[in-house]
Amino acid sequence: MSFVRVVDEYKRYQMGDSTIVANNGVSFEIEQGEFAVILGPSGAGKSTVLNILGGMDQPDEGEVWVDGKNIATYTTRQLTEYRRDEIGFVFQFYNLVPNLTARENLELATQISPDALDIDDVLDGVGLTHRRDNFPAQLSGGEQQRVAIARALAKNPKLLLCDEPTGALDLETGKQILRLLQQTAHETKTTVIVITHNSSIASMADRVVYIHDAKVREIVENPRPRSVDEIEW
Amino acid sequence: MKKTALHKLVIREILNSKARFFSILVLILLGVGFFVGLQATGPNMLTTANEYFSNQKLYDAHVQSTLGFEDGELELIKAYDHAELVEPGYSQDVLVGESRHVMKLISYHPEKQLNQYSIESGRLPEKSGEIALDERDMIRSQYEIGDQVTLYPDRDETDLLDQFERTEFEIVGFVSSPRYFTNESRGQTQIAGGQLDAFGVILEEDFNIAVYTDLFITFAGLSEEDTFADTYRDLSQKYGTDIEQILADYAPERLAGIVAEAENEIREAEAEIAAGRAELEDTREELTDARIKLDDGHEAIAEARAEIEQGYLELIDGEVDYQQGLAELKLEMNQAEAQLEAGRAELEKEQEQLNQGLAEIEAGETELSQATTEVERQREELLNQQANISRLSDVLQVPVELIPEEDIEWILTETKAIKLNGQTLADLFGGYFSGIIPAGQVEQVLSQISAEIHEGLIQVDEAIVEIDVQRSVLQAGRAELEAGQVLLDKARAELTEQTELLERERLSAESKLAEARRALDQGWQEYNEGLALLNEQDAELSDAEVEYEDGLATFEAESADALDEIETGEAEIDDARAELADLAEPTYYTFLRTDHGDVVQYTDNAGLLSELATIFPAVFFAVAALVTLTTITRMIEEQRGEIGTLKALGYRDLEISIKYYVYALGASLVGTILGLVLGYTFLPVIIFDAYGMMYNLPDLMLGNYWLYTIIATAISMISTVVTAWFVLRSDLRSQPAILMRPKAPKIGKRILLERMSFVWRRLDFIKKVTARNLFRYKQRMLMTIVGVAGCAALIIAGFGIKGAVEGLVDLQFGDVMKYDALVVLDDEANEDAKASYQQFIKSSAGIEQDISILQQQFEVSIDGHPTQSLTVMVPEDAEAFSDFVQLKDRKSGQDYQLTDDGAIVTERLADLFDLKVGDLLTIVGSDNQSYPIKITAITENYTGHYLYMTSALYRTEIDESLNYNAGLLKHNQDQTWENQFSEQLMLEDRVVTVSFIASMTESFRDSMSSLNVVVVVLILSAAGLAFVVLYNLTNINVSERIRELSTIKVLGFFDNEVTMYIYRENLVLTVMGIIAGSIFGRFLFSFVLETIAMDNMMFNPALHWTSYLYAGLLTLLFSTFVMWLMHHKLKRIDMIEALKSNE
Repeated sequence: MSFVRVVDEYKRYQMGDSTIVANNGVSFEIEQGEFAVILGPSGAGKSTVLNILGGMDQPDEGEVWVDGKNIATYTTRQLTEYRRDEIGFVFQFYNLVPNLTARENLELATQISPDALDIDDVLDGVGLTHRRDNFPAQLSGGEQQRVAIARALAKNPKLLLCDEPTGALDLETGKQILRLLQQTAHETKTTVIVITHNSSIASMADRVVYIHDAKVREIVENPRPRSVDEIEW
Repeated sequence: MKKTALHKLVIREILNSKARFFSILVLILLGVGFFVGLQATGPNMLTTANEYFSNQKLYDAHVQSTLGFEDGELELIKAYDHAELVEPGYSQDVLVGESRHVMKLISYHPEKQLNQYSIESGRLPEKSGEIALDERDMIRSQYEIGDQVTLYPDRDETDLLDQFERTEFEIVGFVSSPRYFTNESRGQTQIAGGQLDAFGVILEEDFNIAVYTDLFITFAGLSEEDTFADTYRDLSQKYGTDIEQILADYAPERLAGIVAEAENEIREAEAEIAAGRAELEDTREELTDARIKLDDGHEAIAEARAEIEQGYLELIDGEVDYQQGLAELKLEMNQAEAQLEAGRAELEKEQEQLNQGLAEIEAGETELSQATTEVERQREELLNQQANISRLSDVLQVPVELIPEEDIEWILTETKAIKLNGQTLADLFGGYFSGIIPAGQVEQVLSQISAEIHEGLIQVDEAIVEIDVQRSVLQAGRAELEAGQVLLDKARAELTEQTELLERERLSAESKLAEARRALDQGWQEYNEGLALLNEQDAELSDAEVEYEDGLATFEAESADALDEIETGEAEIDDARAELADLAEPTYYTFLRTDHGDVVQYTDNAGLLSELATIFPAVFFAVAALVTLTTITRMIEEQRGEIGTLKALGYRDLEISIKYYVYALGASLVGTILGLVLGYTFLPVIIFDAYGMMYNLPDLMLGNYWLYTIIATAISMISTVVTAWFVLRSDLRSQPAILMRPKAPKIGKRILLERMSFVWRRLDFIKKVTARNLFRYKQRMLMTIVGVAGCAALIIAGFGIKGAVEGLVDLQFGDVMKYDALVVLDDEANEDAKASYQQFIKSSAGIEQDISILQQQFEVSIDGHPTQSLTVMVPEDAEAFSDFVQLKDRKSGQDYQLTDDGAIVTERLADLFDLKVGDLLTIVGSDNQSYPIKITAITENYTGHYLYMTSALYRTEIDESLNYNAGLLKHNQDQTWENQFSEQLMLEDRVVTVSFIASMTESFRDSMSSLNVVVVVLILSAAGLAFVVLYNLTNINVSERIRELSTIKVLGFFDNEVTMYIYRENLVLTVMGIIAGSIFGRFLFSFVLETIAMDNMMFNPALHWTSYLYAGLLTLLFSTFVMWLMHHKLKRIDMIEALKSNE
């Protein structure tokens, strides 16, 4: 069974009188250790999928299996535990706690995580050992995002979810981030799911899920994903 | 509409941040309400009292005099330009009822206008003998309308009828008087224990006092003035001084008048005495004349009596003669009649003999005729038998068978009577007829019978001859007897003649005697009449004598009285002369309305409130304003992006800022208006109601005060709208691009603590985060600390004052006054009463210790302070005194002993007058005499002013004659025992009143509890403020850091961990606030205590630790509650929404 399996998942939002269907029967599977990309234009519903996968939101219908458990049926408390123990989340705007140094931001996550990794190893892994005592405001965008990824990874999550991780970064920095993510997936067997509207990123993924207009249009498995350096956008 | 979107923005802003909007609104409301409410209460109270005084027409000045008032004073004061109404009246202090309440009885006249009473129940007196009593609780609870009460004098020798027309009154109502509008005291008196319990109102006509005792005056134009304003005070003081001057000038004239009048009276009295003496003399003469007349009368009557005595003797002689004649006659008559009677008896005897003889003869004759008849009858019968026998012989001839049956019957019947030897002839015939007896036998019998008959017949004939012989003898005897009868008749006639003669003789004698009788009777009648007349005259004389004696006795008795009276009168005249010689000019005392103890106390209380109203609401409002300011500032800063966007879109500054102005103005305006309304109405009423227990005033008159309204509105506007303008001004100056760019996130900084690595290292991660966060938002931190500190300080001060007020009672009545009862004694009681009292106290089992003291009221004054009343206490036993009253320095705890070097004064007076050990304190007695007393120590005391000294000191400095007039008792019993003891105690002649510390404690506690209400209002308001402040600051904190909170939520923090993430900071800030507040509260408490201190009352300046505890706990409690609210809010945070945007 796939590590991630979404089956006929629906999500609707009530906005005044009208109902907006964000996910309209979404189904897909992602295997463990894959570097997967969910691709689609703005407003297609990919963030919703990611939020549901990340335990921040719940579907109205359908099943969401992660590591053999259907998180669609979880209570709020179970979802919190799920986020705490199994998920790493990377945001477009980093969302580092500004009052904490890089290292402390990691510490914030590992404090609550049962099988957290060594903070310094992780920081070293993202190449920021030298900036570890800097506050976020003292770091560049890329560095901040690397801290954010490190914070997500430090918890040793089974699933790393990234929402437009390069959206606020320049090309070169973006590439560094993507490289880091790809490495993570391939080297630590952590399943990484990245959502983006940038289709050029898709070519480096093991699997690409195309979402358009709240539905999965296509799922493409890429037997030979390209490295970051090969892609242009 | 052109700017619909903008309007929507305003409304949406309010709707989206209801909590913030309302917390601003509530902050403003609380601040404004508390501020104006507390500010208004004092003035409201004064207005109410002023209105009450004005409605009840309370006097402006009350004048008393040592000699009372007469028309002279009245006319003078009426003539004074500024006097409006001048009303004289009477008053007198007496003991009333079984409980011997000390009451001031005040005269009432329905037409007088000043000092009108308010009727609480029943009515005012309408006729003599009715009384309306003070509606004070202690009186109200003991009497009912319809009860009779009796007045008792303070001293036994006082005759109340010299002051009143009567001493029995019926209660007709309960009233309150503007002269006594506190419920606490009724002022001082000269009698009993020195304290008045109540007043009573009776009609003017029930007083019997020659001069008016009181004058009440109102001044023209002052009724319009506010009693508590300076104008009133100045004017009334000026007029009062005028009145005093006028009266002082009049004093000699008044004295002269009194002297003249008294001399006049003395002269009149002397004339009266002279007249009395003359009258006595006259009476004595009259009595002497009467005596002479009476003696004459007695003599005349004696003469008459002698005369009548003579007549009487003569009459008695006549009577003797008469009786003699009567007896003689009777004797003669009786002798004659006896002779006659003897003759008559002889005659009768002879007649009787004669009659007897005649009767014998007649009996013989009758006997002879009877014998003749008998003989004749025998002859006949014999002949008949002869015939029958012959007939029966015939029957024998006839055969038996032929004889008819009836004949046989007849024969048997006829023959039955004829007896034969052993049988009857009938038997014989029966035998014959039946054939048994033969005829021959019968025949023989029959012939035998016939022979017998024949024999009989011969005897009969011989008897007849005998009878004839006898008859002739009898004839001869009768003739003899008839001759004797004739002789007898002749003798009888003679006797009758003699009897008639005697009768005639007697009649003549009797007529003579009757004549004599008549003459005698005439004499007796005359005698009796004379005697009666004499007796009558004698009786009259006796009456006259009695009358005389009576008159004499009366005269003697009365003349003694009269002489006594005359002597007394003369003595009185002498006294009056002496008194007159000593008489001093009258002293007049003028008391202004503003001098009245109740008014002063009320003013103090209102002032106290106003004092409380300055610092408390100021702090309160400052905190509210500060937090509001912070809230507004944060709100605008949060919306930099929006401002930038609108600016970029081309909106003008005003259009952009209008939203914030509307928001700020809306919250503050609604809050201000509500605060003004609630503050001006509810708060004063709540506080005044608490004071209602102490005062019998009408409902509070609410008023609003422009000054406070303007200040409150201004502050609320500054903290909202002006703040908004200020913050917006700097934002609007910036370029839209800068604005739209997120304001550089607050750079994380190393805090000072991190440098102290030995501490820092010990903190766990979360604590480090907390520590760093705390210092990251310094402004917020400061705001929170200041806000919380402000509230905590208010609460601490509130509880502190509450404790000080409550502790006061325990300290004063527990620690300072160690005795349990104060017995006021009659200082002029006789030795017996004193001994009896001592005996009673000794024998009362519950009494542990007792001491005699002198208790006396004095006054002390110093420039710049109202006159204070001071109680001087002089114990009999100076060493034992400290068992009854604590003499101790409050701060050092050093105990003092009374010495003859000087007196010990209580702390509050020492503070007030700045007295030091060694200073001289000048005390003024009720006789206006001043005595400087050296102070040797200052002792802890909380209510009232006392001066303790030894008896030796008292004797040398104040009065050589020292009479202990009170006793202090200590006992170990309960209330029930106290009641019983009190009843028994009051039976002692020497005891005037007894008061127990236990009940004083209660009443004091009651009166203090009104201040407590104020404090509770303070505490509650402060607590409410603390809550709103905490909520608001936490709310700001949360909304500012929503992104951070969302992040950690996404990281998998549980809800309570998220809450704790914030709460930990809040807790630290709150604790810091409490600590800061404790320090600030300590100062606030001292400051408030300083301002509310009353002249005769000291609050214990020690702040009890529980005040901190309560304040801390309350603040923490609110903080927790706020966090609990926040917890629910945080649970509902939309993480996704918060994290999506880039701000």
